[in-house]
Amino acid sequence: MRAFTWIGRPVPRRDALEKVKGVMRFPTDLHMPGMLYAMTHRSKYPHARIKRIDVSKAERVPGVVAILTHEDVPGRNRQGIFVKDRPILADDKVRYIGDPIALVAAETKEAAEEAVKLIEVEYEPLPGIFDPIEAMKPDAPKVHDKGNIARQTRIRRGDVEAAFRRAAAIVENTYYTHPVAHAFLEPEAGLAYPDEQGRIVVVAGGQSAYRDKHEICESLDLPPDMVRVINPPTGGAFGGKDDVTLQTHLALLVMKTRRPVKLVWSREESMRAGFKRHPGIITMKTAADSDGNLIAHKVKIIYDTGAYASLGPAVLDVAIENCPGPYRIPNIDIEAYLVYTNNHVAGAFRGFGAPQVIFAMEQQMDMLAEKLGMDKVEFRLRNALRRGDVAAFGNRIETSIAIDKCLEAALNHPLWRNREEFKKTVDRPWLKRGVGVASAIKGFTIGAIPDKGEVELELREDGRFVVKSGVVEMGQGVSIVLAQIAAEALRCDINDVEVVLSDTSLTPDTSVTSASRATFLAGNALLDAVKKMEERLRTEAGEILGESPGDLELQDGHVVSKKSGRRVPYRELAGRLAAKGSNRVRGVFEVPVVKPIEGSLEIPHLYFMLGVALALVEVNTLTGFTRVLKLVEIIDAGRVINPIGFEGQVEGGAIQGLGYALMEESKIEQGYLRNPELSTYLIPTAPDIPEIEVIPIEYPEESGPFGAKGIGEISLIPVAPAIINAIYDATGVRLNKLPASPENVYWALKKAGKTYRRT
Amino acid sequence: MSATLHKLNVYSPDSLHEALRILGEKGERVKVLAGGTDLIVQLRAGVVEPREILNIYGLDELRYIEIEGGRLRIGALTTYMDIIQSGKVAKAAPILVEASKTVGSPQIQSKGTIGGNICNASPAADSLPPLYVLNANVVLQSLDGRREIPIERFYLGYKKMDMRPEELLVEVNMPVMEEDEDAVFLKHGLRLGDAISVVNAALLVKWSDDTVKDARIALGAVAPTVVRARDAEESLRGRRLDENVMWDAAEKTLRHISPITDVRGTAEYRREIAVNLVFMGLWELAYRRGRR
Repeated sequence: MRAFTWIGRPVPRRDALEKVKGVMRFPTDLHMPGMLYAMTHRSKYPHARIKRIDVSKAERVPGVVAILTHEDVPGRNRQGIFVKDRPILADDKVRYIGDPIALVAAETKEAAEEAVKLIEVEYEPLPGIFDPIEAMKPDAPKVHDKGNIARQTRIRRGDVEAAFRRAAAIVENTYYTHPVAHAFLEPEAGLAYPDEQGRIVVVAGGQSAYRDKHEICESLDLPPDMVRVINPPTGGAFGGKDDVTLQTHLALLVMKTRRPVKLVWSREESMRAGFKRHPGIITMKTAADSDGNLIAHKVKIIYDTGAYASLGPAVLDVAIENCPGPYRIPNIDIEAYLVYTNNHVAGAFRGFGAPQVIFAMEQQMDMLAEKLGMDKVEFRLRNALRRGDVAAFGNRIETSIAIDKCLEAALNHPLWRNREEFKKTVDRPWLKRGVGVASAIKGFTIGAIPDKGEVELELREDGRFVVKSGVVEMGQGVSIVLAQIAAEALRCDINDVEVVLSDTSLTPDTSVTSASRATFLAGNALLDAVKKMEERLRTEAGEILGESPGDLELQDGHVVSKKSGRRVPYRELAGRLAAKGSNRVRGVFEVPVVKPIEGSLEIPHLYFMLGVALALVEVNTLTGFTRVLKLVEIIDAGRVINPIGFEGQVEGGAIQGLGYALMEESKIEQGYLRNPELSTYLIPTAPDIPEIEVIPIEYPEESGPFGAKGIGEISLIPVAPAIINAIYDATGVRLNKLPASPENVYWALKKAGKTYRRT
Repeated sequence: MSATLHKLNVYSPDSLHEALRILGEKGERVKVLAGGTDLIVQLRAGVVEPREILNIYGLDELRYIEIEGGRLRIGALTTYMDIIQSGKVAKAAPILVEASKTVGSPQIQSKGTIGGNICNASPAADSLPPLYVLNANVVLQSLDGRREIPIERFYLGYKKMDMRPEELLVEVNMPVMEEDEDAVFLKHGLRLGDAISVVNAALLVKWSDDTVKDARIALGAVAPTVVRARDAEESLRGRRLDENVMWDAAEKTLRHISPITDVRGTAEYRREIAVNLVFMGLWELAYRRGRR
């Protein structure tokens, strides 16, 4: 095989300089002449009936152009990807403190601010339900008329009870995880306007122009040709912009005002109204035999999806599918519930249901290893899924899976090998160090749900190519990856490839940018387009050279004859193809799927990403403060297309995982958010971030573009359990509840008598 | 929700005299703006009633660090970064450098001022416990003249100061630390950067050989104002610092504090941390003494 020219090279991102210099225009930066400023009036109560909405005072504020309520929403006033349960603007009830009730559009931001405060809503407060276990009881206050259980399922294989009876070690625990916010640099934001054709153009931060368009049209009863959606480079999404956020509101505002309208959520609003990671209550009973083989796993998962289902039904499936970890377990019994409450709406968030169950499972693994007297990494390695294995749901793993190689790398890593040395080097008697390990697995692609993407490739008359795809650049670097794949396959210079993304009028639908599959899906569709383009180039060159296309190949921006060595530059072919109207091709990739197993929506996935994290922590037993001194991320990476992008994404996930483990938490009490600002919702700052060592383990996935597989979410998932396992190693105290904030750790230490004390 | 900041009148005087004249005329109707790292946030959040603004940030005459007559004098507009980078403060009051380094982020350190930190009067302010143990005085000036009062007497209650509406805080000064004195600052925040103290503490010990001749201990975020733990201080005088002595002193801290529960921590947790920080501080001072 020839060596790659562009694949695997640390090609700098094209948007890097613009971003560093602050000249990149994100949705928040967009302006238009005559633009109106919009604001949202939101619920005052977590659960209340709306008796009356009075906008008369607000309407009298000079500069106010429109105030919209549910009465202005055409159609059924319900949206939702899986369940149409979420009003565009609240009508009968409010179900959480972020629920939108009215939209204001005004000539100035100040007028909008004033008017939004003057909207009067008369409520009849209703008893709220904030605990998912309480919510599941039949007499609980109902968030939706049909009851509080949004989805429930049970999936069984084998006989767990029989296996428990012959087990050498059994561990049973309940784990609690907390809601966290995506805390993207750019909150939900967008601008919408009517164009010269009378269409509504919505330019907003999102993860799929096509699906957002579909949601807008369906919610507002608009024909598809009346709406165009554009996703400019977005200031972070992480799943928080997977479902629609403000796109429907923007379209509605333009419908009613026929003027450009800008809507940007404040940070506080984003924290209050935006999606969150599902809080979970997870009970696991896990057993191993005396040889250290996992034999049974009985699990109960309860995820609090808050006021609306959003992507929760799918999140629950990902939780179920990944709760056995990357291990072979012949007997499983998994019960799972998705429950409505009057808390935040939980939706998609990097990891999509997996981080919660892996947090639980990887502590189970440590405890089992300890009971069996085995090395914690060796125990995991013994049970690690390998290619050809039958996984927990009876699905055979037939794609690249290198968790065993990742675990071997962990076993040989100095941080693991010399962990006792690392632990000794403290210079204050109240500081304790520990090393922890955790593995993680998550399917990439959307599993058993049919999924297809298209990419267009155009040869311009100057001989350069344009790649057009519906994927979104939201910081992950997909744009440069597509350019590298195109340049590699087309055998041209990377500077001769332009990439145009995510505009329903300019780019085809490459599905939603989620599930760590943009490179896989768009890359494969692009390769299909390249194949078609190559055929045309060879045919055309064959005519010029009078040679058979079969004797021609692409090389260095030319079609070259393997026989005669004669060559035609792409530039020359471009004009001829354009004249025939055949300079554009469309590539398609349909993700292979199997039928979902009974009781599931999307289980099993066929493709998996995996990783192992090692963490070195130092716990102050007098304050409970945990400092992470080092993180190692060993990632089953398929083939790395761009090492800089790979490292960036893995480091970003590691930091987000560290925040999840130690400090991030949306503190919602009785439905009210206590920490809507970034001064009280804490994310890691530069000094909190340790040295992060990123180790790619490259076993190419044959069905991926040049062997690539997804990696976007995986690095986040093992971090929290690795840190929690390290805290245990340091102090002897197990935390079954996130986050490991100083106060939570302190009380746990105190309860166990492990704080530094008077002797 | 946010106040409409664009409607505020802002006065930006060119001299201290002019600033004092405006302050004399308008008194409580103006709010003094220095670095703005607290005030702007409070205005936006609607915590502080929007009034007219007296922007003194341009008054370079209030930016200085001097050692004079055995006292370290710091102008009110001196930023944390100025303090961090000052050789004079490093020599005369290193604990103040230590504390300044823990304030917010480099951005806040570069913009926020010591005078602003004193006048914002947050019980969690990181510069205050050091100023307490250093026996600092604040200097207040108005068109009628100057007066100087010990920092401890300056605070009357939660965000209440002995400062008249026409007065401006222009300086903080303190004795230069002596050879036989050592001091340590401890901050417990919920993360390493950009953190607000859950509890902070400053401890200063005057040594006589291995014996404590005098000790001063101040804690923040555990009462409406910064407090001195006088019983703890008392218990240390004339003692060598073994761990039992340290724990005894640390536990006496509880007599002086009355923490509340807020979004950063419970009152019970703050009580535990106050004791433990004092212990850690004493251990640190004893450790340093032992190494000399």
